[in-house]
Amino acid sequence: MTDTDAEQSSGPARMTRRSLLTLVGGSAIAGCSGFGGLDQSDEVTIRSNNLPDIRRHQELKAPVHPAVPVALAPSYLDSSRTRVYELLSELPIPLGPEEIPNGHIRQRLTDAASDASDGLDDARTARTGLVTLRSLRHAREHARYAAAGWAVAERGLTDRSLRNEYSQTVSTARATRRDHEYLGMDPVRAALVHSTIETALERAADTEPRPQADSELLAVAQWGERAESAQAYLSDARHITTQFTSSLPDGGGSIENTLITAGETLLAGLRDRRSNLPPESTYEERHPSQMVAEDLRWKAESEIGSVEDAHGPASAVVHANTRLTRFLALERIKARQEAGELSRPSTATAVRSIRQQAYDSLASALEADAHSGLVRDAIVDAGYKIIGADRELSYLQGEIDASRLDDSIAGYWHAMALAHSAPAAARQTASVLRTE
Amino acid sequence: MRVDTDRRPVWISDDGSRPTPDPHTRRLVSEVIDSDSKAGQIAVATDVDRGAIDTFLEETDFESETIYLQSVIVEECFRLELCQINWGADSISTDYGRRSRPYDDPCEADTELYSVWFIRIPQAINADDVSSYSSSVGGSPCDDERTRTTTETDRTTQTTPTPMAETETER
Repeated sequence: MTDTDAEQSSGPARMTRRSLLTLVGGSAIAGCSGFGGLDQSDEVTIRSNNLPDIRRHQELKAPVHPAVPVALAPSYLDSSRTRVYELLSELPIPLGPEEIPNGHIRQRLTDAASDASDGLDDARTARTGLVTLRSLRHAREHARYAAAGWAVAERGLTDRSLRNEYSQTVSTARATRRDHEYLGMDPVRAALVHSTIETALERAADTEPRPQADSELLAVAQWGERAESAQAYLSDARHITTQFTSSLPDGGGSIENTLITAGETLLAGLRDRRSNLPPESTYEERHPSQMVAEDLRWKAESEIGSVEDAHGPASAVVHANTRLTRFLALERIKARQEAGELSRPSTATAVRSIRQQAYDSLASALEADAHSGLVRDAIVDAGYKIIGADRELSYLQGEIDASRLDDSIAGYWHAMALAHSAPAAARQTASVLRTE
Repeated sequence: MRVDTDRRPVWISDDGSRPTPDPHTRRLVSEVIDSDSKAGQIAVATDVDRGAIDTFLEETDFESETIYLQSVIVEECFRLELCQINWGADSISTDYGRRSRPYDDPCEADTELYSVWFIRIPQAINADDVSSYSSSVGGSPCDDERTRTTTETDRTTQTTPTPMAETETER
């Protein structure tokens, strides 16, 4: 399967129980004050039951799933599942007071085993191959935690062998990272694939401090989890490398210099944009458009460091693309503010419309652009913004002042701005990659 | 020692009467014992080892020492550790760590205990002068950073306080 075959656009369509708008104090329609779209909402209230029907503890699924443009081998995914089953099979069923008398420790182990099973389920329903890998990796980590913890009670396992295993995996991952070849044909695809590999190898090679556990058994369990995690990251990196390389005609050629040069060019462009940002505007009143602008500006400025300190040349390019998207989104929000397009909504219908536009903009961004991989990567955060906005809506009860929707509205506008800006950013990034 | 109770197993009382059960029981209750007479008002549940407490109190010289009594609710599968205590003439603060019991120690995850601490402070402190109390119970064991029994400020002595082994009573 390709990494995105199973994905469909997810929207709010199923949340339509609330359909009628209620505007209490309807004469006080919110207006726009021109620049900034600042408006008065003191007298505007909205009944929350006319807002999109999102229940407080409803599980919200991210509408954009990270992906890598590589076809993963079903046999590899099967081997990861088998590894989880093997680890879980080491546990006695049921794991009761006879086996682990301490109820707290027993619960931690059974919870980990349960989380491992959940990870297998998540992998089955994952929309992309990369999410499948992530779910299986989590399942392995949890299963190893439970198995290592049980092994302490069953056969006196200590952390020594696990620390050695972890240390060896870290060494291997560092060697793999050092020897990694940046092969490719299409530099955009190569940047996305190698960025994923760089991240996985970084995680595998990143030594962490001694686990902070409240019991000796759980400390051993944590070492087991850590050893498994490093091994899973390393295995995933190797598999993606193998699959990608085998997909290239004649193995492709090295594009390392292309990535390095493109990353430098993109970074220089980001620094220029940062230095040319106008002074921050001041506002007299809190407003969702202002919240979005401040958030985007802060992230665009501060996250340039993630490009400068990227794990490798491919990650530098991909991170730069994401940051460029934020700069363009900031420009878009500013333009919409100045055009008076961002009035605080004063009706439930308006809120529903903004939310629908946010979902639609993500779907359009993913479908429309030729560089969909870069676009997707840049708007994963936009999906989380929408989820956060939905979550905020779910907390509202009764008749509320329109201003209490500011966090949600800001989230939807933020996501929309990213989604509308991502294709242009991707085109710029691709252009730089292909001219280097 | 474990007793199935929802009331504090150690308390201060003029007449020995025990606090009544309260669904809103505070998770941490503190008392400053600054005299022999106040020590004499300490009452304990029938299933608490009174002898160990009496011995600890009898070994305390209230002319130069103070007992800080804290009753802390903790989950049965955990033991508290006193990471540090700081005190001055008008303030006392404590910081506890939490460590799981061994895996082969039978306990239930959802059951809570009273962990009662008698801490001997090497300074005479007038209970009426103490206006500031603070305590924290961390979710992990004491570490090097948290394990300090003295502070550099507001101290008149550098002698280490003496905690008596904790007494546990099931809620």
